[in-house]
Amino acid sequence: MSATVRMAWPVALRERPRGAPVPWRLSGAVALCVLASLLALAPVIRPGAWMIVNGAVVVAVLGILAVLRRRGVAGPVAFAGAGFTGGAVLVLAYAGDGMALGLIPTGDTVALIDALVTEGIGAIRSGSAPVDAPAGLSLLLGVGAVLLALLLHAVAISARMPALAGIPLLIVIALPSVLVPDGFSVPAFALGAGVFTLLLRVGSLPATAAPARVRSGTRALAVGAATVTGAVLLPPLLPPSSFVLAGPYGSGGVGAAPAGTIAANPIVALGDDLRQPAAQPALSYTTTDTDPGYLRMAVLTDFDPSTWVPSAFRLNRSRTVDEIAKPPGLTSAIDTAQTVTDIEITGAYSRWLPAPYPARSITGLQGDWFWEPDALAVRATDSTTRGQRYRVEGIDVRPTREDLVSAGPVDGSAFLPELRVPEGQVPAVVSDTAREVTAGLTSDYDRAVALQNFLRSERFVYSESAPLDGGYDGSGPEIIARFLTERSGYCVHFASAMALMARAVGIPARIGVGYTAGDPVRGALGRAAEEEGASAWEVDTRDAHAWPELYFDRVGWVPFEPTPGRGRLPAYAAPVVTASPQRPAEPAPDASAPAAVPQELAEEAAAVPGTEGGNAPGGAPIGILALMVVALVLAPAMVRIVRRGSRLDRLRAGRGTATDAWRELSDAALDYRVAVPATDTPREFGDRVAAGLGPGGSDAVARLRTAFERESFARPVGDEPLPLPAEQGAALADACRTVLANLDAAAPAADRARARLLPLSLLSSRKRFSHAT
Amino acid sequence: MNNSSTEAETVSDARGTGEADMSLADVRVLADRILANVESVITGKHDAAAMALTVLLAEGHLLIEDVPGVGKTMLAKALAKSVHCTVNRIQFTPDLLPSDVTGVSIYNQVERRFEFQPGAVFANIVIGDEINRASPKTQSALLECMEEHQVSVDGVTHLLASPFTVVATQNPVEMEGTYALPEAQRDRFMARISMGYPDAASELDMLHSRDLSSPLDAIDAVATGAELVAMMAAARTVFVSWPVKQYAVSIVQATRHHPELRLGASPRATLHLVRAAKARAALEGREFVLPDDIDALVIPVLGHRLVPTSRALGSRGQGAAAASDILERIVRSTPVPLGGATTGADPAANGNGRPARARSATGAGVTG
Repeated sequence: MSATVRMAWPVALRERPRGAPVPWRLSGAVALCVLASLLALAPVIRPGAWMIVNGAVVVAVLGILAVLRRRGVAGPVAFAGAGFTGGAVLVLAYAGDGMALGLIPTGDTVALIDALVTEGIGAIRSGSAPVDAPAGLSLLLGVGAVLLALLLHAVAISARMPALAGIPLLIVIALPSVLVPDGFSVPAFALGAGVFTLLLRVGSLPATAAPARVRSGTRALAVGAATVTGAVLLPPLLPPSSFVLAGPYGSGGVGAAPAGTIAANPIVALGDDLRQPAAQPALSYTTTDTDPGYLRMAVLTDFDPSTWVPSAFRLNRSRTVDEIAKPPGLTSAIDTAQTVTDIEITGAYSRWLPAPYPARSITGLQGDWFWEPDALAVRATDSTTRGQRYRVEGIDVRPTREDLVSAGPVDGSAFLPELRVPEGQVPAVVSDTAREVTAGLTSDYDRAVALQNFLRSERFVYSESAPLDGGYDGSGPEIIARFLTERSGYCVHFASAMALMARAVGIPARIGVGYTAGDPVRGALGRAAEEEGASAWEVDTRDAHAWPELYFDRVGWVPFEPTPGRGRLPAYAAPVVTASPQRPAEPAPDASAPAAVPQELAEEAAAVPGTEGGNAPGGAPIGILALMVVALVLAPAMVRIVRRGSRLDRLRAGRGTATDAWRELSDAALDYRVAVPATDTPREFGDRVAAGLGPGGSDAVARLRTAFERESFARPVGDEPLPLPAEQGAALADACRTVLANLDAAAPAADRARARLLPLSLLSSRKRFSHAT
Repeated sequence: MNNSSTEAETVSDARGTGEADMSLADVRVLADRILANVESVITGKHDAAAMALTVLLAEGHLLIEDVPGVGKTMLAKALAKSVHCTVNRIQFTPDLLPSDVTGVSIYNQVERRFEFQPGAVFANIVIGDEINRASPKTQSALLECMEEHQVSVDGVTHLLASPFTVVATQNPVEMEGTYALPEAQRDRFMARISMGYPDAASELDMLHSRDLSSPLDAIDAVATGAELVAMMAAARTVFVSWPVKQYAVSIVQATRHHPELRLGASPRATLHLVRAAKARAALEGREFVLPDDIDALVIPVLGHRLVPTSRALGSRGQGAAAASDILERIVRSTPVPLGGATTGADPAANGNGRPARARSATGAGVTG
């Protein structure tokens, strides 16, 4: 028997004789799998007519295949026929215009298909998820769907290995979650897992029961559970920015974090954006601000040894973006102006919202967005910036040089995080350099400008590739020390260095991450904006930026610009000593620099979520995920326990029948890997169960069998099988418990665990019992 | 009646007395007593004896097929003698005439009219020895009686005794000069059993017991004809649930589609199968039929009706062995419908199509 059993794996369909007709339900299960995978693509490709058309084509192809196979057509011929028909229907559907009489392919058809394919590939290359599906992309998707259907059919039905079909299915269903942030959708996975389980169930269901079924059932269940668990666990573990759809968007902005881990470190991805060989649009906006400043997304206050990280985002559901608090520190003595900025995101995907600082209210956003009281950074809990259009009403703070010079001393106790320079972590060169540069200066403002000008001086060279080549890319204290000696880097390094040195001389400092103002839009659009007293701007990925923000009494947080040749030097920060601002010859950004993601960056990105601490919203999904996995693992056991409990309770309450007890017995037998063939009479099955049990167990089985036989085969009293009286029911329930205990005692430890955690009976058919409950 | 010998132990006609008064528990007691009596004559043949009694209770006819000298006739005689009823024995030979079986009208010169002389078939239990030695004409005369339970001679119909059971024996080995029963006629027998050789102990025992006298002389009737009729009536009351009927039909249908069978079982076979199952349940004192009853009876009841293909016969040589083998596989692969004793609905739900597909599940040891 064991030989038979071993042969049955992995060929779970061995019971179906070769040449026997493929059951319709198998073809149906395969079709459902393909349809589910089409649905799962929704986060990447916007749902539309393509789903319906391609779904119909898939169903047709599988139907034709099934009919051909039933007619006895040889496998390869049937596959070729079904595939050809599918292709023909797709061409007819998408390229029907190019055909003579609407049916006969002509040269035009070929040209049209060629154009469609080009269009489709173009849509994949240049679109941003979710892309609309033009005809070309729909055609490609249709071809893919037909191929997937044929592949699943070949694996699950022809090769009789339905479990293996899970691999292509998982790949397709998992695709969105690795391609786009937010691509992970629980319903899609649940649906995928559901149809796959159905395929396993239908695929491993033998025409007649044989003992082999027990083992293949276990495996099927195990493979299914592993697949589902893997599908849930895999996406968040993948490196975030290396797999993202349509490469250029990739690093996509600042913090293209995968779903589930809300807070990736924005600064990590910044270098990647800057090193893109070609700029891609990030966002565009029109503003009433005559001299727009930075569009800030995140604020980095803390740092760990290797990089700056955002401070924990303290979520408070009352802090919705329609009313944002006054910026900290700003007093009425400072000249301000109201501004209105309309922003449209075209490529910068993030959970952080780009907005000019300080904003007072933001309208028009989709999803739930909240602001954080310290930095007034805005971020989402359930969506991203993708496709957002929103209006920011804010303040343009215009401090004068005098305002800043006359700013009083800062109360250091209120800015402990912003003043933190961890002992022993920051090499002496940082603070030494800071003190050297600021020697003799009296006001914080003068020190800040001195530090800024020091970094902007000719001694430093802007380079996006040097830190990478030199192996000191990043923003931690060690790297800053290295940067101060190498004197070559990009905005991350300049901003980090200035923030760190400002802290070293007692000025609260932090790092803003986002975009510079970008370039003004020329042409009609720009003129249209001007007519309304506004200006239109375009921001691309090369405008990604980081800058230091320093705190001044009465003014609040003020940005500085230490990076040479980048951004805009604020009026208050322009050097006064030198008549003309010294700008070093801006070194051309090394466009040929490889855009590869360095290993350490990926590691940092992966490491960041963990640094956030349990209270941060970013920490929650991991816990929820773990809970989900545990729940998933325990779910079968729970369902089984509940089912058994309800049956036995029904018996004890005098509402159960002997069939309930018998069903419980056969389920228990299945759990403990005693075969439950449909060809067994109750007597034979009872003997089979009792075979491995002691006398107590055998007696209990005999009691159950006698009651069940009487109920099933004896002359009925009424129309329905009457419930057994409570005392008889209780006796049967006790007998069930006895058999269960005996089965458990007789089983090896591994079987015992399996019986509890993966009860096979959950997969068993209920159809044998005609009066089911 | 030159070749038939009559062991006349005529009893009052048992017909119409005490029917249905017997409980199934009593049936069981009585059956055990009859079986014990029979087994005191033929030791070690419990199954054959029980099957013979089952067929008797089910009002069917029994065909015992085996090599000479294993006790075929002895079984039939012991059974007949255990029940207090009339027994006739016909030794079939090629020159036996139909009238020898059925009876003939003879002119009575004293009373100057024709008188009907009943043939050997007028008895409760008729033992037909070596039935395949008679000419087809004679065989068919007997088989007609078996089916019709009456004899028509010279335009006058004579009813046969009730109960009426034919126990025919047949030698499957020595086939020269015999007329093997055609399929149509084999179908009239409810069951076919073979005796098989006794084991060593039984054979030794036999040497001892047969030393002095025939053991048949030592036994007496343990049940009256009236009691036998009551037992039959009780057996008829046994309940057959819908699932069990479905199961029987499934199995019979499977024989009709089986690739190794040239001829499957007839609807009459289904009737016989269920009737025998009822008798078997009655013998055990059970008031309802179990699928296990069907399982146990499939080979005796269906085996002799099937004609295996020459390929299936192949190496086995004997049709009986091939048919048993095929039937065993069919039983092993036919799902047993469970539950719903009362549901009359959906009779075709489980029985249809299954057997044809079930064929494939022929893995060894499927049902252990």
